[in-house]
Amino acid sequence: MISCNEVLAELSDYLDNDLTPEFRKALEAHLSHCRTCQVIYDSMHKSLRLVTESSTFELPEGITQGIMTKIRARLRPNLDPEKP
Amino acid sequence: MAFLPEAAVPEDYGPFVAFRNRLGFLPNLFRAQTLLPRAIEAEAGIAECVLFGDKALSRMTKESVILTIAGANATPYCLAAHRHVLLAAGRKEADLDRMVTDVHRAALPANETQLLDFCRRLAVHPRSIGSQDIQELRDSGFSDEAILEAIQTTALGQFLCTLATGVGAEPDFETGPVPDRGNGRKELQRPLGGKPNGGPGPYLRYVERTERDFPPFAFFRESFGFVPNIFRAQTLSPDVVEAEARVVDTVLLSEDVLRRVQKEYVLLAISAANLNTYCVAVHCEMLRGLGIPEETSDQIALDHHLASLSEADTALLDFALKLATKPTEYGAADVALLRGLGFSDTQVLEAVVMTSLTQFLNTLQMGLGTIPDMEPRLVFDSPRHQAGTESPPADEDTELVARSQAGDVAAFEELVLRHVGRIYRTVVRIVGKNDAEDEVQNAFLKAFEHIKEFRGGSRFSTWLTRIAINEALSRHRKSMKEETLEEDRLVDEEQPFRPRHLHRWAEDPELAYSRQETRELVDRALMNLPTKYRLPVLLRDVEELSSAEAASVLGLPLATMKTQLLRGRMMLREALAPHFSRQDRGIA
Repeated sequence: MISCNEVLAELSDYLDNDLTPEFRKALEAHLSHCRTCQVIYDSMHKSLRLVTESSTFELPEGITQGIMTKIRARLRPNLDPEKP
Repeated sequence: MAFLPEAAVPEDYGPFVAFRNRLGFLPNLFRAQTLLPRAIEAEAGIAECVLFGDKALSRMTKESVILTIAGANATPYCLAAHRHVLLAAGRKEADLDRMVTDVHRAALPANETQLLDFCRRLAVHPRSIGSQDIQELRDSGFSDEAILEAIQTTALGQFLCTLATGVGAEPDFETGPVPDRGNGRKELQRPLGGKPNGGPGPYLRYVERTERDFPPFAFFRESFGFVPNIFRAQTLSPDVVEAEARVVDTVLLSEDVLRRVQKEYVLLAISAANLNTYCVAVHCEMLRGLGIPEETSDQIALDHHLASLSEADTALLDFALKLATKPTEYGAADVALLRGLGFSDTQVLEAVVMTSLTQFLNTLQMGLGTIPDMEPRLVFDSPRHQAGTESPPADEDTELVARSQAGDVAAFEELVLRHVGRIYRTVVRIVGKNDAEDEVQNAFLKAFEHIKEFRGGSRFSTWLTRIAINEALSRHRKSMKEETLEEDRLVDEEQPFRPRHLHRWAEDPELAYSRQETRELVDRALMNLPTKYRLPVLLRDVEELSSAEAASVLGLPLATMKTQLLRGRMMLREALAPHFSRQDRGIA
């Protein structure tokens, strides 16, 4: 039987479905009887869901235009009055 | 019951007589190998000159080293045997128990604690060892001879632990406490990031010997065509090099049980799993000498399942890798599996001995810091045999990138429109809202200037994200540096993160607050993470990049990125827990 420390060390890989089938089985066997690890797994899963779901940001207006203005200015250095 | 049958051996069998004389008993570990007497004889030779007898280190100090290694590996058999020897020599039981669980709490002289801690790290985190560690031991009064003995004894400890697990040896005595393996062997596959401390190896002084005046070197030259640096680096103990040459001769070069090529496969596959570049380079070279194409060796190092080996050879490597890297999961069923494929008991035993020998050589090399005898053929950083190996999906930006490279600005504008939201979202969480817009502009400008250099080795979005992160970080290098120093003081990366909030969370935490409130809580928690832990979380859980892509963006080995990701996620969970757990919010 694997220990709680081993479960915690692999929790991230477990959430990412990135464990060998044998270790996954051992980890799930541990989770089925260990309340502490269950709570940590469940709350970490929910934390990541919250992070993924609240990841929208309002883009500053005109940011693309600002980028393209800079790029076009770089392409025509001789026409750019600020360049020597 | 051991996993393999015993053969009858006469009472006066030399190695058994020697073990009885040296230890006062005949360890079951050696009885369990009577199908292969030449292995027992070679092991007795190594034990005699590494462990038995007082040299630069006393016999009892070396017994303490092996007990420490048995504790680090949580191997009951070796814990029992070496505890017994130390108890018989008058050491106190409580001291030994502490030595096994936490050497710093054992009542030992400071320099012995330091030595045992070095040996434990060499066994558990071999890639963290560097010349700085060796210098610190010298500063504490250890001679190079003593340090060499400590490294050889650690390697012997690794050998014995693997062997005892592999043959399923019954403990000869009571084991005493068996520590948690959480800090133990599993981390062998989990290298610490960065380079080993201090300069390049070899770390210890050695004596120049030639093939003319030193027969073991003549033997290596004749057998391999060269004298491996791992043996040149041990000439302060010529007797050990002689014993090692005998082990190589009787265990590796023999062809009567397993074939030599099969044994080289075992050495290569385990060395690759242990991320031991030196041993991979050496054994690829040996396989080349045996007529195995380089591509096959490379594939064995990366994943032997794809190397077109026979079913039996593939199973042999599965067996050896499991014993070496996942000993807690190894058992009689694995032995039965090999038998089912037609391996004899003696062949299974030799596979166990070869696996143990590989652990011995890998540990020696890491401790000695020997440089490769030839160019390393592969750079490999990912742990092997993981499910769900990600291959990057096709890049939907290919056409626009090609047009941009040909000077089509409108195509680049299309790329900006596609990616600006994502890049902004990442950058704002590195530099904050005030500076984010400027940094995003700089990142795209830089990408445009360098787009002709983009060769399609990764997806365009990965390349772009890497530029954006580097730009953002370079402007904030100073605050990062201060943060890193502070972090190093507060966070011991060798220690697993200890969660503190252990209350169940609400079923639907999203419903606990308004959308806006939840987003603010999450943002604050993210921004409070140290940058090195925040970035992997951002890339994996916000940008939803694959692990390989996130590692590539951050310029980190996959294993290092994953370690930081785990800690980042743990810290994030801890920060959010007070807001979403039932008890803390009075929901329960």
